[in-house]
Amino acid sequence: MPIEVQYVWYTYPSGIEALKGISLTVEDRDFLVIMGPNGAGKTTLLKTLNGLIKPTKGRVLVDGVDTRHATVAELSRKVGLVFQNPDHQLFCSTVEEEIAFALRNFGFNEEEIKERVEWALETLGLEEYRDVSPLMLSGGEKKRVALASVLVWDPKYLVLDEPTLGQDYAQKEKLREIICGLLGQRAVIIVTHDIEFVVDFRPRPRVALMADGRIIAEGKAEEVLTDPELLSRASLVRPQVPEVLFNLREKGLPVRTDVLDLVEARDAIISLARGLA
Amino acid sequence: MSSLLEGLAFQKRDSLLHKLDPRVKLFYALAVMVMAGVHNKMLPLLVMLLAQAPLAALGKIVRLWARTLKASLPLVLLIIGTNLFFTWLRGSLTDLYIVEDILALAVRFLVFVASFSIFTLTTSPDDLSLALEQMGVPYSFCFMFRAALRFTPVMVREARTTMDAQRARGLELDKGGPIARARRYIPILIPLIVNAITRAWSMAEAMESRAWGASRKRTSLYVLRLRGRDYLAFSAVLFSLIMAFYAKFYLKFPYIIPIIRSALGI
Repeated sequence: MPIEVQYVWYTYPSGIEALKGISLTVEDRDFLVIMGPNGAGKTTLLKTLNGLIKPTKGRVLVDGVDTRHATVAELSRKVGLVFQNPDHQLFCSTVEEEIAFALRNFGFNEEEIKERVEWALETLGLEEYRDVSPLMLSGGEKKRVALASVLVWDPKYLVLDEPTLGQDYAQKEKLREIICGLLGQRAVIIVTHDIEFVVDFRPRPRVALMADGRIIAEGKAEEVLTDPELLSRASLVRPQVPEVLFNLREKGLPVRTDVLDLVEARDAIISLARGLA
Repeated sequence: MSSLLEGLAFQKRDSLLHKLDPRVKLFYALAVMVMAGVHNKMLPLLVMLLAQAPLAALGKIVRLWARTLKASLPLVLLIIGTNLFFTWLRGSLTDLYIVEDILALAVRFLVFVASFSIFTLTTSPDDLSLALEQMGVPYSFCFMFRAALRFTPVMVREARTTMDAQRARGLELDKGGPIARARRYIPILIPLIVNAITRAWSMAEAMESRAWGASRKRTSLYVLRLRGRDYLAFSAVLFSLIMAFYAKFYLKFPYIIPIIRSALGI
């Protein structure tokens, strides 16, 4: 059963309308990326998925359960939300304890806690830090601990808010590898500005663009992320690879443009060269 | 409690009270405190409380001001309750006049709240710090005060985010008894404190990079100058203060219970 966001509106107590009629479905084992400018309502939308925010209008169904009729703890068991800034949540004296925190909240027994923490440490490559204070780690490592502390209870829907923020290239690649390893067994939803991070994913995610509290486009990455008009409404610029191919086409060369990554670009250019030869 | 704090936060408005020199307003708040401190009878204290309502209207903050007073009611009830209890314990709760004196204490507290709320609602933290600075308080103290006020909303927002993040990890804040509940706030307090300290450090470094404390004699972009209206307001407050002392030593105030009784005919 899926997550169904049905025509959701949300107004903050301060009067700011953050969501204006959002509808969205996340299937089992789905891979969805949500992109859009600051203040578009992305984080607010994520918070409706585990009930931290209850819609002012419309409803969110998680596997058929209306989020208004369930606690955040109950919903979180299925929808694991990793917040943007790990500094807002890390507090334990060791990484191991930090990762076990949620399991204790959910009432897992000690044996299972041990097993799962071990699995999460391994999955995220954090074994060597198990006895280190999470507050002493670097930004990228903290991010991974935060991710591990949610992944550990194996939520059916894993939701990541800006996972690449403040990470260097190597850390991003490591993160991509980890996320790819998680795909196929659970749904993964990512909110990010980082368009180059998105285009290098295999398999490609479904992309939803948000602006001003609405979803302005939803579809295949190669369609949504190459449309300059849509991208500019979401304060994004076309990724570098398709940008090159579009430029070639503007110069009058008959090259394919529904291309996002280097491998595809190479093939497109090869077939162009063959055609010309 | 939160609305009591809210009622003490500066509100930007265009009013005569907002334009007054912050030093005059500080003098007003302190003067009212002294006036209410020297009097202990219902009648003068009630006059002091009511006399501030027109000032709140002048500052265009009546609604917030009234909300602050309303938010202080639990404390008022606490004052009345404990006083009644201990007076009764001593066996001196003999007649209604004593009750009136106890109620007067509560009104005195309301007078404090009322004057300080008018002061803080109409004076921006920057103005207040400027006033203190130009009254000779060392700049680092003024800055500390100003930074504390400025970062309060940031801390509140951060506390909310942290609560959300921990709830997303299955923390249930309002489950169990009071001790269990207090313990559940540890995962919220630790990140909050750690972040506050980290931020203070990086702010200190950033300020030193911008030559904080390089010159002994700091100049100010805005220099406070008293105008005609400030002198007028100052004189009015001073006059009220003198009158309050005069009234304390030379006038005898009647209890208001007999007045109410005769008005109601009982």
